Parts: sequence; C-alpha cells; structure tokens
Amino acid sequence: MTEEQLNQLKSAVELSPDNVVLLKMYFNGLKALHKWNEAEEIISNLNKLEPSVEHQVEFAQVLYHLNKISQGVLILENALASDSNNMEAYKLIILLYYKENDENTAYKYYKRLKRIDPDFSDEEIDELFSSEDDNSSEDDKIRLLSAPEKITPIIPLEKPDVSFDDVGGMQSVKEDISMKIINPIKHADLFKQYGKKIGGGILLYGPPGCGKTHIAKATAGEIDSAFISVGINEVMDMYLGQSEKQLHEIFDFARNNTPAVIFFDEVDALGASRNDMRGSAGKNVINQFLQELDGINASNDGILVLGATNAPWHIDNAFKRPGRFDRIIFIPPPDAIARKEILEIQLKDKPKMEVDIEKVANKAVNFTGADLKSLVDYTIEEKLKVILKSGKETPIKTKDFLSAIKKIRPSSMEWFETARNYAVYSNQGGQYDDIKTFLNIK
Amino acid sequence: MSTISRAELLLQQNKYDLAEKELQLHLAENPNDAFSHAYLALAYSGLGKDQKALEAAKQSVSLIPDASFPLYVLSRCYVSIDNLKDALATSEQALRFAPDDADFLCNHGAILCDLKKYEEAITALNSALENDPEHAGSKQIKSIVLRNQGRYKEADDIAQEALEDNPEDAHSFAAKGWTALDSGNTKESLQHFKSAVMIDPNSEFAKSGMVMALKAQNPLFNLFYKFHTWIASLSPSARWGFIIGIYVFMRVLRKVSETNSPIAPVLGFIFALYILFAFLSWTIDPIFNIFMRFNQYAKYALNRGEIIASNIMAFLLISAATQYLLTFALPWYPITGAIGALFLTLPVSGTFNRWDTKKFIPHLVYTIALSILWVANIVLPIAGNDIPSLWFLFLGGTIAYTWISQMGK
Ligand SMILES: Nc1ncnc2c1ncn2[C@@H]1O[C@H](COP(=O)(O)OP(=O)(O)OP(=O)(O)O)[C@@H](O)[C@H]1O
Ligand SMILES: [Mg+2]
Repeated sequence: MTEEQLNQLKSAVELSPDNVVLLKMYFNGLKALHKWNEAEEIISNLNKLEPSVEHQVEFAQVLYHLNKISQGVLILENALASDSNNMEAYKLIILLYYKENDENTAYKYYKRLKRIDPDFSDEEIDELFSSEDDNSSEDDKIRLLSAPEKITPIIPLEKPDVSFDDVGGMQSVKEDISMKIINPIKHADLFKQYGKKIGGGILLYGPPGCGKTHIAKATAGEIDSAFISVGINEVMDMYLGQSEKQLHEIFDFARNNTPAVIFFDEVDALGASRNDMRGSAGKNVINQFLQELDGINASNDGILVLGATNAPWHIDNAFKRPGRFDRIIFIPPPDAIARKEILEIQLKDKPKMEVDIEKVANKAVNFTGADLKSLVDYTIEEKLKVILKSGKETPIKTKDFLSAIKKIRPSSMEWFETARNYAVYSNQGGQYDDIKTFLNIK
Repeated sequence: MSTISRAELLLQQNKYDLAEKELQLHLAENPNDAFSHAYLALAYSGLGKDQKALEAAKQSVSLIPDASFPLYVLSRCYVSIDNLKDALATSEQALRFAPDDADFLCNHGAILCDLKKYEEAITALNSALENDPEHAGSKQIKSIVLRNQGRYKEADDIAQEALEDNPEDAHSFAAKGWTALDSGNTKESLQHFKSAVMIDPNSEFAKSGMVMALKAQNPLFNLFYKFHTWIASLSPSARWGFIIGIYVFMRVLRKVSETNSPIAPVLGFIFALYILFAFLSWTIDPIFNIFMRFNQYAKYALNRGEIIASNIMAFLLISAATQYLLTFALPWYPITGAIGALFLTLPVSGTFNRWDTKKFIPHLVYTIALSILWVANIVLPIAGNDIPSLWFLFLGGTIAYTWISQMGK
C-alpha cells in the first residue's frame, strides 16, 4: 500500500463513512503504514458499526502501539468475555500487562492461555516467561496468585410445592420453559435420539412482582431433578468472601447431578456490567460466572440455567451472547385474563367469598401479581375489621374488592418509566423490542 | 461490619430497596451504629426519599460527630434538597477530618460549582484528582465547571480523558455534547448526546442535552441558544449593564420613531424586531418543545415539566391566534384576549424553567394570579364592565415578572 492509495481510500471513506468494507481496507492500510492515531479512530468506528471480537482485538492492538494500556486491557477483557478462547486476545492482554510492568497479571493470563491450549507457542510470549518454564516454580506462582481460602460451599437445593398450576397467565412463558427445560429433562432419551443437546440459559426480565421468581419456583416443582436456587444473599456472600470458587462449586455440583437447573434470582447482581464493578472486588466473581456459563473447564451438557432480573440493563451484554442466556423473555404485568387466573388461584381456599372475579380482574388495570396479592390481603383485613366491630359474619363481596382497588397504587409504573427510556434510546440489537411492543412505541 | 459491606455492595449495584431493608434490620438491633445510619441515608437518597435521607444522615452525625463519612453523607443530603449553604458547611467539616479524600473533594467541588464559585471548585477538584487521578466524578464536575467558565477546549479535554478511563461514561459523553453545543458544533454535539443516552437513557443531563441539540439543528433556535450562552458568559454586572443599556436604547429609539423624522419607519421596524427578539428569547425553548413532541426521538426525552409547559404554550399560542381572528368576526370581542395570551407565555416559560427547583411554586402562584387577571380582562369587557386599570395591572405584572425573575439569576 502506498501513501497515494491510502489517500484515495481516505476520500472514499469520507464519502461513505458507514461502509464497513471500505473502512476495513483503510484500516489495514493505516496499520501497514503504522499510522496508529488515524487507525485508532477508524477501528473505533468500525467496532461501533459492527461490534465483534475480531474488531476489538484489532482495536486493542492499535492501543498497544499507542501505549493506551488501560483502555486496551478493558477492550480485551470485553473481547475475552464474549470469546474466552481467543488466543490473539490473550496474547495481546499479556503483552499489555507486561508493558505496564504488571507481570503478575500477565502471568495469570499466560496460565489461562496455556490451560486452554497447552501447545500454544508464540515467540514473543514464550520469551517473556521462558525463565519460569520449569514446572515447580510455576506451581508456586499459582499458589501465590490465588491465596488459599477455606470454602464451605452452600448448595441451596430447593423443592418447592408450587407448580405451573399455581401460576396464572404466562401461557407463552410456560411453553418456552417447557420446551427448553422441562421436556428435555422429562424426555431426555427422546432428545438424545434426535440429537438435541440439553443446556443453555433463559433470562426472565420484567417489572417487579410479575411472577419471575414465582414461575422459576413452579418450574422447580414441575421437575424431579436437581433445582439449585441462588439468590441475592448467596451472591453477596460470594462478593464479600471473594469466593468465586463457590460459584464453581455450585456449577460442579450441577454437573455431577445432571440434568440440573440452576436458578439465579436477581441475576443482575451477578452479571453486573463490569464497568459498574470496575476496580471493585466483585469483578472476579463476575468473570468466574462467565467462565462457568461457558463451561470452559468442563462440559455444561445437561445444565440449564435460569435467571431472573428486573434490571436487565445492568447486565453486561457479554451475558446475553449465544450459549449463555440466549433466550431472553419479557414477563409483563398480567392482562385481564391472567389477572382473573391469578385471583382465582389466590382465592382458591377462601370460602367466605361471593365475588365476581372477572369483574375485579377487569377493574384492576395495571396491577401486577404482587399487587393482586396485596389487594386480596387488604380486602380480607378490612372485612375482618368490620366483622370484629359488628359481630356479623358476612361474606366478602365484589364491591369490597372494588373499593379496595382504589386504595392500591399499581406498582409497576415506575419500572416502565425506566424501561421505556432503555427501549427507546438503548435498544441495541432490538433487545427491548418486547417492551416497545408492550408500551405501543413504534 | 458485614452488614455495612453488604449494604455497600447493594448500594454500588443500585439495589437501594434491598440495601434499605438490610440496614433497617441491622439498625433494629444496633440502633446506635452511626455508619449504618449514614449508609441508610445513601439508600434513601437513591430511592428519592430526600427528607428521610436527611434525617438518617443527621442521626449518623449526631452519633459520631467527629467522623468524616457521616458529615460527607449529610452534605450530599443537603445538596439533594438544594440547601447549598449547609451542604458547603458540612462538606468543609468533613474535609477537616479527611482533607485528601477524593469523594469528599469531588462533592465539595460540585457544591462550589452550584454556588458559581468556579475557581474554588477547580482547586477542590484538582486536589481530588491529585489524590485519585482516575476519579471519574471529579473529572465530570471539572468538565462542567470549565464549561460554565466558557473554557470549552479544556472542558472537552477533561471529558475526553474521563472517557479514556471508562468508555462507558455516559456523563462524560454528555459533557462533551454540551461543550460542543456551546462552542457551536451542533452536529457533533448531537452525536455525543446520542452516545450518552445510549449508555444511560435515564440521565437527565444527557437527555436534556439531546433535546437541546436536536432543537439547535434549527438555525433560528441556534441563534437564540448562542445569544443565551453569550449572556450567561457575561459577569452579573455586565449582564445587567447590557440589559439596561438595550432597554434605554430602545426607549430612545421609540421616542425618535414617534417623531416625524424620515427614519422613523425604519426605527419602528427595528423596535418591532427588538420586541419579537425579546419575546422569543424568553419563550423559544418551550415553543420548540412543542415541535419536539412530534419528534419520535426527542419526545421521550422531555421531562414532565417540559411536557406540561409545551402544552400550555401550545394552548396560549393557539388561543392568541383564534382570539385575534375572533375580534374580526365579533366586533365586541376584546383584543385583550389575544394580547394577554401572548404576554402570558413569558411567565409560563419562566415558571417552568424552574421546574424541580424550590422557586417553582412561588413562580407558579404568580403566573396563576396573572392568568386570572387575563381571564378577567376577557370576561369583564364582554359583560360590559370594562375596568382598564385591571388591564394595566396585568401588563405591568407581566413585565414586572420579566424583570424580577432576572434578579434571581
Ligand atoms: N402469574 C402469577 N400467578 C400467581 N401469582 C403470582 C403471579 N405473579 C405474581 N404472583 C404473586 O406475586 C408475588 C410476587 O411475585 P414474584 O416474587 O415472583 O415477582 P418477581 O417478578 O420475582 O419480582 P421481583 O422482580 O421484585 O423479584 C408472588 O409471590 C406471587 O404470589
Ligand atoms: Mg423475584
């Protein structure tokens, strides 16, 4: 490539700045001529237009030449989060850390790289660590890097007594879960015969109180295999104990008990955007979670991961990639029919009712499942107050419910205000299209 | 101890409700744990419960008066209720115990910035950055201070620096957007705001910037935006000098235009232009927000105050136009209806400019009083009971509003 050709490319790019092919050609030209500053701008644009691991690695390479170490490291971490076997990324991150004189971290990545591909060899890299090549010192180093720690794994097993019958509405969600979790476990042989692997992840998201946790529990009730439920408290303990190993134990337990479902409630705590957690201790736990989801060191066959969150936007995009949480399901507030079903479930064993449930359901616009639950509680309480005063045991009537409805504010409104903003302004890859449809936004 | 670190983690992850629960459980057993009260205050703040936050922070300080962290939290609570004086005082106290803490210094800089003490703010922020060269908050505030001082290049540089530390820093993208907008690069600013809003679509700073940048794509609006930035860049006395100077100049102009001098028509025209300009410089923002309501991209970025203001403005403008036409159709219909509607746009715009501040309510009351006068000046003449002094009270009240509300700035 000559300067002249490069200039031609430059004007071509200026004319159509969104043409990916042109940008790539121009970038390669700039690289060949070591014009790193311009190259940085171009690759940054390219990566914005077409985010990919390949572009991130190229980007990091340019940053390496520009001595922008921390930015390069950040990009590579992202790249590795989405493709944890990318040798080029490993190589670069090692070089970057080395350039920054952080030999320890560089070595850590070198170890990881060797674990993935023991035969890996690269002149530049091997030279850095040649003196430490004998095995004994290597082990010492590992021991130094991961301080020994006592871990008592908690494997929170659960067998709740709710089933899908206790979940009102959510027909399509039930079908999704049946197809992806319940059937593969119940009919494991059939799935095997047709060559369908069991595994993968489902992420449920939606406003609070609409039954995410509830349907996960019901899922556990539907199957006989291991259902491991990890809540926010367990996750906080992992952060505080710096014990990403605990996460590993949980996955290992599941791997030894396949088929198994691991349910992460409030999974945004575990999948927090690594930017938010930058510099904080939690980062290791988060990275560990990514590794476990990918089953880097062991197969994840037969492991189903279910996650629930009401803040999907706080979850790092790396978690939404194929093979991780690849099925993302929106759980909206119940419609009138679902509200009726939920009320029926909640009034099931309450004899003193003379209620037109359908009418109540129709009036309880925007109520979530949890709101309906408090509606029932509140109405009963109010009735009891009256009865205790008057001494007359009258049944609860429709109008009791209707007057209680006016006292309860639907709780999902605030959530939708936030959600709408994400759906309108941050809908990369159409990830919040369901919210848009629900809110009638074009 | 472990409660605090749990709560800290939960706060870090924006799970304020869980943090609140955690802390309240803990405080039920250890009601005198000062630091838990301080964290509880932060949780309340995150949930928007400003008063409760203030109480918790005060409680914390009263339990250990000579620790810096509770004072710092208390200072932040004062900031969220707009009590800058007490915020500054408590922040100073906190810094006396911990003069090098980057978070405290950053908070201090932010308060000084709000008080328009820009040089002092820069000093505080610089020492924050000396202690923690990657302190994102300090870079964000410093960029704002520099922009307020009209030092756009430096403001942009520091925002750029913050972005190099963290390419997902929505605030710094927005800061770049604002400096670009103020230095006249409207196209570029829109790009920055779009990046900012993409990362954090709930940031008011980013969203309001994006709406402003979209409006500034229109040359007329842009002209007024530049005028406003220029006025804002003047020192208070220079600003007053300018306003009064123009006013006196226009009085003289009008006097001359009333004589028979041959240039009188030209002067009259200039005078009319001046009136139009003065009107628009007050009202162009909410008027353009009417159009933003039809813009698919902008309409969700308007806040409630802007939406209400644009509704009222649309109503007043349409009402002015129809009432003006009515005076032709019905000879007895008073012109005060149309003129009054136009005049009312001034206090409406000024009032909603203060949405979400303490001054909003007094402004609103004044505006409502003027609106009642306006209606009286339509209804009474129709009923055949014309009281001219009411009309002058209305006009005087509106013009007085424009002057009085300038004083507060
Ligand atoms: N579809 C439903 N059918 C029956 N009950 C429901 C349904 N949805 C919600 N509920 C009731 O509301 C309560 C709260 O729901 P749940 O805890 O599952 O909400 P969530 O979506 O997990 O909320 P969060 O995001 O706050 O964790 C449940 O305990 C359940 O009793
Ligand atoms: Mg839940």
